Amino acid sequence: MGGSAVIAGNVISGLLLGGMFALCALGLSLVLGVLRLVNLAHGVFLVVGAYAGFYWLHETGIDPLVGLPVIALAAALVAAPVYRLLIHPVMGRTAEAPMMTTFGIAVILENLFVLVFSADTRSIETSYSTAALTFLGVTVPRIYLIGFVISVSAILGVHWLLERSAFGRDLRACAQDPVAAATVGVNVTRVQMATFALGAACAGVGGTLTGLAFAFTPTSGPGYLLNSFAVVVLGGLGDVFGTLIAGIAIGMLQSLGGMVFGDGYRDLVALVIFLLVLVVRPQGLAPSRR
Amino acid sequence: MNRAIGVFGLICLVGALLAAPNYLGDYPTEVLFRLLIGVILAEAWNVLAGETGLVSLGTSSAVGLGAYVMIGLLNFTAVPIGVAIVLAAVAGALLAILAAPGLMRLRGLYFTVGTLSLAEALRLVMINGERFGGATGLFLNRDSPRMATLVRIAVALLAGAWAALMVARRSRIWVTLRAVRDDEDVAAQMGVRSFRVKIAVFAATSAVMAAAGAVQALKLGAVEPYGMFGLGWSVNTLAMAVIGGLGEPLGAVIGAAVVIVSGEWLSDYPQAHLALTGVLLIVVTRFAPRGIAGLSGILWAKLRAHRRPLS
Amino acid sequence: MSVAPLLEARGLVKRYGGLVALDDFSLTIGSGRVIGIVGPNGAGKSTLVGLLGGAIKPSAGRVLFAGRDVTSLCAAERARLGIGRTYQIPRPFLDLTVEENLEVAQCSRRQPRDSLARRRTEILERCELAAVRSRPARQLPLLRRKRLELARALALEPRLLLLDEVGAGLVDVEIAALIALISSIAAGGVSILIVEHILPIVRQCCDEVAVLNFGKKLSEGLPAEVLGSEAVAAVYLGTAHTVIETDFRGAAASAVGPLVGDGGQAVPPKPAQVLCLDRVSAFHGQLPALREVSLHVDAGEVVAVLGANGAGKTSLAALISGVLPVRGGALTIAGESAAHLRPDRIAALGVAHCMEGRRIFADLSVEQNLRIAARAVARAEVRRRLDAVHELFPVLAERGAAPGTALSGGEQQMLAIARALMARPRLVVFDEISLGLAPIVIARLYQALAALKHAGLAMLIVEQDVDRALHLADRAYVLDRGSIALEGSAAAVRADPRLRQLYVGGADEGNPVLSK
Repeated sequence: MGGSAVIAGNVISGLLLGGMFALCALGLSLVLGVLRLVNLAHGVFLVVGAYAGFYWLHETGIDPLVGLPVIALAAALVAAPVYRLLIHPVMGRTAEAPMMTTFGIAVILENLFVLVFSADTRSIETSYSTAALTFLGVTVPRIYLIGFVISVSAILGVHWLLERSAFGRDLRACAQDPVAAATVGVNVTRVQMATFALGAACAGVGGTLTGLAFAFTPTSGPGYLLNSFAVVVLGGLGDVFGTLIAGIAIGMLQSLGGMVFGDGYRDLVALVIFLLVLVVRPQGLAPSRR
Repeated sequence: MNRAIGVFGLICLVGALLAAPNYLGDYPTEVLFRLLIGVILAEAWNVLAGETGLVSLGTSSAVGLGAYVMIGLLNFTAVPIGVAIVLAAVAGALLAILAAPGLMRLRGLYFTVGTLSLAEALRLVMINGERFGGATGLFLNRDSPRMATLVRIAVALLAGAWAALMVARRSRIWVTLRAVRDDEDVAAQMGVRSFRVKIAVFAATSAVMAAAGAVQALKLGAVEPYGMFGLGWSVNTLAMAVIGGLGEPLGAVIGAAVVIVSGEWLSDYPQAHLALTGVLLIVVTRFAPRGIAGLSGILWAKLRAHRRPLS
Repeated sequence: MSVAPLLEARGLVKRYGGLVALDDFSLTIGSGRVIGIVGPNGAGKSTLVGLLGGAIKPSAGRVLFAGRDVTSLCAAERARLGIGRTYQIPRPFLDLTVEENLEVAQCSRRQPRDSLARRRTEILERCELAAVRSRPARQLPLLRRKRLELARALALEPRLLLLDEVGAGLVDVEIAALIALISSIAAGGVSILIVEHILPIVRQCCDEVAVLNFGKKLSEGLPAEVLGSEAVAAVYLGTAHTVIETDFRGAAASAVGPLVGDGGQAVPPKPAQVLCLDRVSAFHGQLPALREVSLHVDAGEVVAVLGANGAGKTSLAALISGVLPVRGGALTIAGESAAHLRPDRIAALGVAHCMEGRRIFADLSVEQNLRIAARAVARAEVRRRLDAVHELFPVLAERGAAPGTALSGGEQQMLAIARALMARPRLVVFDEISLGLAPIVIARLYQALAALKHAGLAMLIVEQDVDRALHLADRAYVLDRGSIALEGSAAAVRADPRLRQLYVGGADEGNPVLSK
């Protein structure tokens, strides 16, 4: 009886966490789909989001959830010039050059964080970040549910933006055929910059939620990056709902993996899924549709 | 003729390096050891990425595996140090061959991400695997050799790597590596079995990296997963090769010198050093795609073109 | 007792999604024979080379080489058996020296080093590359890169050589030298497959010729017979179908009003000349695509750009819309210099480009495909334009919510035309809108174009189908290997005997236009 409640709790926790994973991975997926760029700085962007939430609470004393729109906007405003000044000039040269640049950005940010914020483990402490929620005998951390609701809302918002807005239309056109998009009058560079900024905004929100749910350090980036990659590979490139479903799937598998093999193996589950999917899908992350 | 001079020069250099610990103080010897390990890793990475086009973020998986195998062999068997290093290298090659069927299906950027996740997966296995010492790792059950001896082992390893590189550069296979990097499809159309070429290079460079990891473990006298399987190895190796110059013969040496020396200079601020490495990486990628070695090559050519009318 | 053929292709089919690039194609190449393959753009020629060389896997059919089934072998293994190929646009290993490029091709040969080195020297001398053997291939100009393609394929010691458009981008003297080289290779007993649209090469080198059209073999035989036949001329000139006469001054003409002219929004006064190219040159990498082309389109005028495959028609269209950079010369659009503008800036100047291959956005619905081209325009105006293109092509209204690529080929082409019109351009560049479509559909499209002409839209029509284009155009230019070879009123160009020669070439002696 108690065993089944624990299992149910784990499954539901995984499901809720998966929503957050999906939001964390969404930016990576968009940037990969539109710019064909592996953004190795994505994990660090998530860490930026976590610190932003931490210092927002620390400085203003206002609930970090209230600060999410501000954090998203700030992340976008910082990311846009980073793309325009550092990444865009090497875009089209070799495949490695832009990726190497994002790698450089990741290394710089990670180490600056250690210098500025110290290597200490942090967590954003609010009344709900440690509280539990019991419903029908199943107990899950309250922040998981809050994170899930916010993440899914944000994902639906991005989905609406892509499907219904003029920007989304331009973005999808650029993802598919940048030359044709430019010929019909789309400013492709601006769309690419906006996509990068949108990716960073998603990472900002996702990072803050992650920071509310888990402790983090300046060096959490690579782990976050790989977790997001697993979601992207499983969910398909630039596919918003695919990303959501893949996030939930990985969240649940992680929870179950942690339960069966021990908590230390949680992260390994995502990596193993990632490697298996890569081997099973030899075309790698290439979009399946033509 | 040129080749004879090259071989002679290399023998002199190796001789000087072997003798160096006799004349250097403790600290310079220590720096020399780091430099040697850096050059070995950067040379291997340079062959992998610079010659064959396989940009890997998985250096730490080979380094870490080599280190663990080394400590395991020395603790639980009676093999001599030299044999243990060779066996560690074999383990590195085996890891590459086992991972290759999956990784080599990925082209370009996806290969890079694949290697990164392999390294992270191995690190997590090591942290959680109690048999391998878990998060605390393993200790060598005897004293590490003296620093001078360690330097000589590293010199021997580097000399071996350089000799192998010279032989490989002279072989008929070498040109096919660069052909695969340049245009894999055309290479196939010329009869190059690119899959096998890539696996061979991946295995060979992985072996060298594992051997470097083994020597490093011997020096530390202990291994733990966060350090030996840490991303730091991958970052530093990539940075040394890229800053020095991908595909440039002197690239690894120059890059290792820049990264290691600036690291010593900023030794009190290791994070500042890594951040500076990141800056250098971005600047070199943007303004000097062939690294410092390539840049000095261009400057040298200009200088000569400038001088010629005078002479 | 007959000798088994060196290569035999049986019933080769290659499909890309719904598109059939090559359909039930069979071919036999005897030992020491030289076979030519000709055909218009998109006929499946390069697909054939890929299928034989192993770079492309067939959807059906088999390839036999030297009596062995090689269908399942990859490119590397086929190369080791002795199939060598060159690429249409040279793909040397850029960072390797010329000689190292040859060494790569020798990787499978088990011979002593010095005999291989001797062989390389022989080949390099034969291809006139010995002087640059230790230079990186990156530094070679185009002609030498073309020679290197050939030299590298020869270093493989092939029994069969697949030559994909080796003549493209070369001038007359270079072509003559190339013909001599190919003949000497053939004399050495190597079988050769030449895919080529420079017909003098085919005429002088080949023992047999096959004509490909829409992925099917149209005819085959001796070069003189095949190239002289009316049917082949028709494939190139587009007279294979009957022109369906249509009355275009009907209802459609009034419908296109909101898409053309000044109504609805204030535009600056119409300049007399919407487009002017003054001695413009352009390159694809190192390949010269256009050489000092001068051309203009006046307001309300319809101008046709004709020319054989690879003459530079699509390069011209890409250059005008800013996709291909201008290198030398002046490009003026509506009085403004546009030589170095990005494509989206050029679109804003009022030039719309209906691209070759339609380039419909598969992820967007039909309506979104249309809306995306109407930029920085009030909602009501977008609605007006949508209504106008819907009246022109009613099917686009019916299927407005469908994904762009759910339409049939002809409907997609309508969508591409309508998308170009949504910008309410001063000038539309139509690039090969009839490619791969049934005559009845082409007639429908040209009916719409006629209505647009009637409404006063300036158009530049790039077209392989000479008859269609000249029927509609006021003036025409004919391109030949990147230069303008012939220009004048549509009627004058149609009547000019040189037109046919530019497409099919002279009957026997070289080509008078080429050597003028």
